[in-house]
Amino acid sequence: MSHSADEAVQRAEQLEREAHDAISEFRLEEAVGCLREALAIREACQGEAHPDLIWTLSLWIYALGRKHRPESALEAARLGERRLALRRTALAGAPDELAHLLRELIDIYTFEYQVLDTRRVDELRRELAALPQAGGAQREA
Amino acid sequence: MAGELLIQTIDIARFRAILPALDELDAARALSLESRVVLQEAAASPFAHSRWRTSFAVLLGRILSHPELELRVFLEPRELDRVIEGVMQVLCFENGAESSLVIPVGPNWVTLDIARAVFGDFDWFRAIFYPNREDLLAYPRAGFEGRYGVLSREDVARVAVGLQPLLDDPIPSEITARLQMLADHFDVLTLSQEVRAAAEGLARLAAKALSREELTLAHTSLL
Repeated sequence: MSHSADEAVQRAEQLEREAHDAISEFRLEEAVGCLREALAIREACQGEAHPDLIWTLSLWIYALGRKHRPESALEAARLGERRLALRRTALAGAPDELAHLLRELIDIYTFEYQVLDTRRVDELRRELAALPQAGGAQREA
Repeated sequence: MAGELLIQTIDIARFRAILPALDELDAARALSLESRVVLQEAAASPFAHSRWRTSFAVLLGRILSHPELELRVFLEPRELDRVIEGVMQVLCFENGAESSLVIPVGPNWVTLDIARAVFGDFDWFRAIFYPNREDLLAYPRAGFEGRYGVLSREDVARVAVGLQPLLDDPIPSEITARLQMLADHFDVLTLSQEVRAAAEGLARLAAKALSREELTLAHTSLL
């Protein structure tokens, strides 16, 4: 990685840390602003398929979840779909993690016990049910 | 209920020893062998598997199953918060930081609820338990579940001395007068019993903390 790209990635990491602090203090718009900038930096420097984008997206989803509004949940689900695609690649060697990832996305699609996209959640549930380790015993509390 | 003050014993030397592992968790990258040993120790603790920490044990299991993976790839930020807080509590606090709002005095904790109104009248109590920010236990992501204040050994000794009047029998007249003042809000007998029980519990925790160099008291306000 070139020196300027290295500096850019450090800037993205700094923005992610600032976003995390802002989330803890409920400065959610500020957090989203930091994460939008961090994601743009990482996409430009590391490419759109780099696994480091996962953490930026996770923080963004976290911030949107704390807004606790249906439109924020839908936006989080859109980011969650992108994150799932990245995670499927990054975690190809850890198939036991796939069930957790699918459940997390189902949770993102669920707002106040209402499923925001029934068709998509049904797809995710079918995929979850088809996993060898899926089932009640593996469901974490 | 809200605004209770929870006081517990903490092994501050252990806390300092595991701080590098907490920092590595905070970075959310792959863990070093040393940090994985810390997590293995936490996972082996019976307190990691208590009824109110089941998701913590599951998270530790997931992390330890995948030493080759960066944590940021498969964990959520809030899950990492939970792991950092859990590792710190399980390994550093006596009895894994077990506490109760229903039982105000336990083997390793004192929860001051209505008794806090009486304790708050003492200068020594206000000076020690309403700390400045520099008195706070500093670890990554502290604050998501409340901040812990931590006492110096001198403060613990002041607590032990300051509690003495509350342990006298009968309770000194100025404290009885304070109890009478609060009687508009609380039953005097209930309040005096709660104050006595809390004083005895806190004196026991202070004595325990003073008996070993590595121990001290930590406190947090429950929201």
